[in-house]
Amino acid sequence: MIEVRHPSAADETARLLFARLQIVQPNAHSLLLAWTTDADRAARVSIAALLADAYRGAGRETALIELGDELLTVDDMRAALARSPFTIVQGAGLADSPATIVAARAVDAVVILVRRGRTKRSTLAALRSELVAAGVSIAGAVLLD
Amino acid sequence: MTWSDYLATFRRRWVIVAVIVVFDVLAAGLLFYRSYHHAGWQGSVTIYVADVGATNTTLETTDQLLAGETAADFFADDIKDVAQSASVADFVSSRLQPLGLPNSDPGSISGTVGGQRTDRTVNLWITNPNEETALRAAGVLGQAMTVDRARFIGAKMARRTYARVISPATVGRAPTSHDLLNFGLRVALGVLVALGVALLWDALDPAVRDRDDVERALEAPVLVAAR
Repeated sequence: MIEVRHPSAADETARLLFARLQIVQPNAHSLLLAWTTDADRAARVSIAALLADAYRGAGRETALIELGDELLTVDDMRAALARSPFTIVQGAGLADSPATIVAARAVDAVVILVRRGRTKRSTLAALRSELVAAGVSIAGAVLLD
Repeated sequence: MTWSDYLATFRRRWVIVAVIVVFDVLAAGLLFYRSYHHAGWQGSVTIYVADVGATNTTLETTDQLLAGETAADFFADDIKDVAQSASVADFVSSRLQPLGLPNSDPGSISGTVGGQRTDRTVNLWITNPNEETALRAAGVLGQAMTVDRARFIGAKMARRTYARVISPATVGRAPTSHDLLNFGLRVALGVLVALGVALLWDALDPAVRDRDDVERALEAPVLVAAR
């Protein structure tokens, strides 16, 4: 299971991520948080939601979009992102969800959630190639158990 | 990889290392126990061997000699080798049976050759779990390779050799010093194998294990590594 086992640990992870993003993506207006694959998705709590709370706690107006199965275009996604000064998008597995890949192209940067001992190195490498080829900016990864 | 990487790998795969080491120690301990308690007794006898025609070192079939080898060398080697044969073990056993003593097997007889080029000594050892058997067997072995040697090395060879037992058969505890060394080596080898398997297992595991794995594969930083 994911190492963030309880809300306080998840909060701590979200706060740390918030702090790091202030450094590596200070000017971003939109971020996508997504698991590498759907199979890796195991968090009981939403890191994206907690991160949005952290941004709000810092006085930044933040919207949270949870992607569904509906396949939007990049322009539709950008239009949705334009409604708020800062938006965090919670996606599905990047390697499995076309909607999440489309969203990745629309946001300023992507944060990939990786599970220690579960996510395959080859999957990560292939995903990186795909995202870079699509012109997506990878902010970094969050490594979880 | 640095030492800390290796240590991290071993910590991560400690279960594999522990299982292999435990089995290794148990197996090595069992072998040590069996060897120590089954080594038993060792009877020994020393035989002097010379070529009867020592001034003329040619054998009937001179091509049997290797370069630089004397006839005494040849006979001593022959006696040592023949002493370790099944026929000699049978002979020894047949002499022990009337005494109600256990049989002897060829694997329990060993020997070395010493002495000068024309005057050789052959040390023969025979091990047995029973002390009396080991002593008696050593005596019979000495007899077999001297008085009765013609039946084992052939009459022609027997005529060319002078062979006498030069020390009475003695008996003592079979040496076990190597057993402890073997135990240590087996344990050490097992530990090395365990560490090797752990490294191999880790290398073959396709999943990411740490921050470095992720950063190498993704070519992007790990922002948070939750613990």
